[in-house]
Amino acid sequence: MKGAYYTLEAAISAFLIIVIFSFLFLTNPENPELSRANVKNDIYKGLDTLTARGSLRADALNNNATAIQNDLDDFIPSYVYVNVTIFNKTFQNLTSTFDEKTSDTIVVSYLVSGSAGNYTPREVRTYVWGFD
Amino acid sequence: MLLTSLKGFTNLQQVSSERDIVEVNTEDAAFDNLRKEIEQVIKFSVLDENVIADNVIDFINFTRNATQRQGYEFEGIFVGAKANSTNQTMNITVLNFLGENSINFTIRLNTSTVQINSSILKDYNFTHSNFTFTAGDNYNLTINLPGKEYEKNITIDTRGNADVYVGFYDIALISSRATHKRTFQQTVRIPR
Repeated sequence: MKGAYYTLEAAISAFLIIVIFSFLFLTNPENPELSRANVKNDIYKGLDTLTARGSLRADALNNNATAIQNDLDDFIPSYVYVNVTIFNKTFQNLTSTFDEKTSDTIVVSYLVSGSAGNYTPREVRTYVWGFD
Repeated sequence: MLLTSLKGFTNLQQVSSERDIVEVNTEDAAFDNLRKEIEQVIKFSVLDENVIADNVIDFINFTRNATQRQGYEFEGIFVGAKANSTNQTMNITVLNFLGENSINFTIRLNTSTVQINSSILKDYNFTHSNFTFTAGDNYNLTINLPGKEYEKNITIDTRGNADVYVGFYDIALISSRATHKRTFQQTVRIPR
């Protein structure tokens, strides 16, 4: 009978140890910096997709930042804010000026060289904020 | 208490290394964008063959400035060769953007009598050389930086009745985390 109690005690102890270690070490840490880095990656994937579709090149050359911004919404988490601006090769802003809202704003720069028969460099700059 | 501290430390390391991996992936994506767009410049400029080299040099300068604004360095060498089959002259452009004050370089074209040009190029300077060739033959253009163990071969397949532009790029995007390097070349037919 005593042996059975010891076995039960050992089993409960082992279970508690497993539960505590699981809680301490198996939970995924969340970090805003990691989140920012992931969103940056999402933006590049989005911009690559829009380039493959042909829309990014056309919109960048037409200075249509709003269209790019709308298209990017499909690739970015809904809890963040996005602003797209377009610059020419001397880095003059061709669209609306953007004031960085918070210090946690991330910036993604994407270059476009032009289109067939039309060498016209553009920088599509995407600002994202609101990670808190 | 000890376990909680250990957990905190482990999490911090895990987040930091995960963030670094994601950041390096992001840099890869940025570099991929630069590489693909640089490769487009010759194709987009080919309707006016006189501006091809100027446009590539201009776009590399634009890329360099854009990446510097983000805290990166963008370095490399560009060699462009325009092979004109009518006058059988190859106009070769070399651009140095290695970020060093100046480099010595030598280019060699393996025609029956090897044609050579050596020169010194300051950072972000370029030079043009004219070599002759036989239209329709294939050549190796070698660029060498004496004293730097740098030598690259560029294959130039000329056409008998068409002009071509060959672009060779050895580029690197450098951040505090990683160096992303790529060497590639392209051949674009110039329409008449």
